[in-house]
Amino acid sequence: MKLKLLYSDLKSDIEIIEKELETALNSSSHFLNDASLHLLKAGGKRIRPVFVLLAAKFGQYDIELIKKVAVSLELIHMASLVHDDVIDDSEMRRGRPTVKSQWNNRVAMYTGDFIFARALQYITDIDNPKAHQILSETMVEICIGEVIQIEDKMQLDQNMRDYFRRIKRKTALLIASSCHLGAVVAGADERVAIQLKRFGYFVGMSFQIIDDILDLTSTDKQLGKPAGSDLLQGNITLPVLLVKDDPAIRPLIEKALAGTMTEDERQEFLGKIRTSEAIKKAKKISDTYLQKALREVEALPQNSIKKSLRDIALYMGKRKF
Amino acid sequence: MNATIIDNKIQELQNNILMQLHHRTLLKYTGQPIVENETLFYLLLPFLNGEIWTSEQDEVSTTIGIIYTALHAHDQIDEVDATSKNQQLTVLAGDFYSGMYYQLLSKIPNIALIRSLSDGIIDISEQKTAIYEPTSRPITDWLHALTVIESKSIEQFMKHYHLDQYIPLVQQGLLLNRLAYELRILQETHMKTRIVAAIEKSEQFTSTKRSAERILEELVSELSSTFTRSISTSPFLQDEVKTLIVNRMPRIACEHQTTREG
Repeated sequence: MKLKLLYSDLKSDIEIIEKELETALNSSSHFLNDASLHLLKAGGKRIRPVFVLLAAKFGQYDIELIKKVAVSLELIHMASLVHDDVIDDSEMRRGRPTVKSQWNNRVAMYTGDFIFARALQYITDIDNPKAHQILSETMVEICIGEVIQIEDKMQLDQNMRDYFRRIKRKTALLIASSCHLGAVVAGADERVAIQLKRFGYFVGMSFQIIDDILDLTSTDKQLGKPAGSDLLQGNITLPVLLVKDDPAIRPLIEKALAGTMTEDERQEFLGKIRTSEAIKKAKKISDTYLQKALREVEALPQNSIKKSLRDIALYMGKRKF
Repeated sequence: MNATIIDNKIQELQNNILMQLHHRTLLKYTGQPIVENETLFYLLLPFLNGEIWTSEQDEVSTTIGIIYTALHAHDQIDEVDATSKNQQLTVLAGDFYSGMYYQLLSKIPNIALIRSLSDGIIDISEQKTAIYEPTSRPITDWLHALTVIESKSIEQFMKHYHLDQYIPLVQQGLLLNRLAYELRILQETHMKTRIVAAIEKSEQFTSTKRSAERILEELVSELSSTFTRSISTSPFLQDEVKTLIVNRMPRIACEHQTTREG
């Protein structure tokens, strides 16, 4: 099932957000317009806006107000992708050339800064200091997470705590904040807002672990880049941490980190890790987070949105690609 | 207010900015966040001229300085190759500093100012990107672009606190500093930055075939005269502040001024 079918109830509101994103990315600069249009065309799952809207249903739902939060969060996500592509020297994203490859790194930096400022323009329509404190703290934490990720790159002697700390900041925080902000801005009960925030955090952790597994188990074609790219770029993910002490695999990991891995060795590494226990163990850990997310949903007040939250969590935690 | 007191105030602001942005890894790989003393001087100009200056303005001026560090960090990214650890972390440093300015203003809280500064950053990003567009533009467009890039954040700050009368001075002073900087770089390295190359291509210069250096010299000279006039005729600047501004004008500009008027 496609993710969009799971939130078909929100279809008209998601369309409003798509239109608003288009307006938000409009600029007097031709380059910024082209770069932004380029990003919009690349699409995306719009997971963060969906969580904002669903969480807001636990309070006074007003699409005209809540769309400001949803658009802002999606813009922050987009801006970070444009800058990440510079950091990772990525040529392609979602099957399209990245802003940095189509223009240059500097244009990508200014595009990201422009989108980030637009995000703040949108969110400042919300006159709620708490909402701004939540979002700004999240943004700072995400940056610190990315700094740590660069520090941890190529470091095979890291532990699982390092990994969880990293993915929390890399992915889980923004999803947690999407849920939290949706609830806070809609004036939901404080206890409910915290439950939703925790739900978002657990879903985000589960989602990122699955993402890291898929980088190793999917085909190059499905990924649009070589399978195992995370490791080739020096990022140590959970499955790799779980097999790093296996004498049959460790030399291959070291070669990948040293940048000396041949294509045959990449295939050998993928074959070995796919049949190892690491993938199963990583899935189990992802599943534990998913179960925690579902428990948070159970504890929420009864309403029709609970089913959507449950279905989306299950989709994100069980997806095959 | 004498020069020492002013330097101390600028230093205090500089220290506050560095304190807010302290991050062990970023410091190790990217060095201290950079914001020019001259930028801070113009940011503090109303205070130095004896305007009422609240503790909130003091706090907010730190966040304005932080915006300059954030934007400056992203100006340091190589157009072609940003794969070194230093470059990767410089990208993140800029993002981290942006997050910090937002966080500090959220804590005050001053949401209206966040809005107004975001408007300014949008304008700045648009002008910076315009430099990469292949279109030839008149010189006035490029001078406007540089004015926005150099002074927009301070302008938004001054508008917010009803200090509008200082804006033309800030714009002229910071534009003059930037042009003098571009001229110095050109003279020392014989390399044209993107903006100098764009200015050189302006229609009015292609017909006269003047060198980039000559064009910049003329611009600096012209702006120096205008700025000096603005300072001397200002009805609200205290005499000692007028002297301070003139003394802080880039030497290169003063030399041209002397040549032109002397």
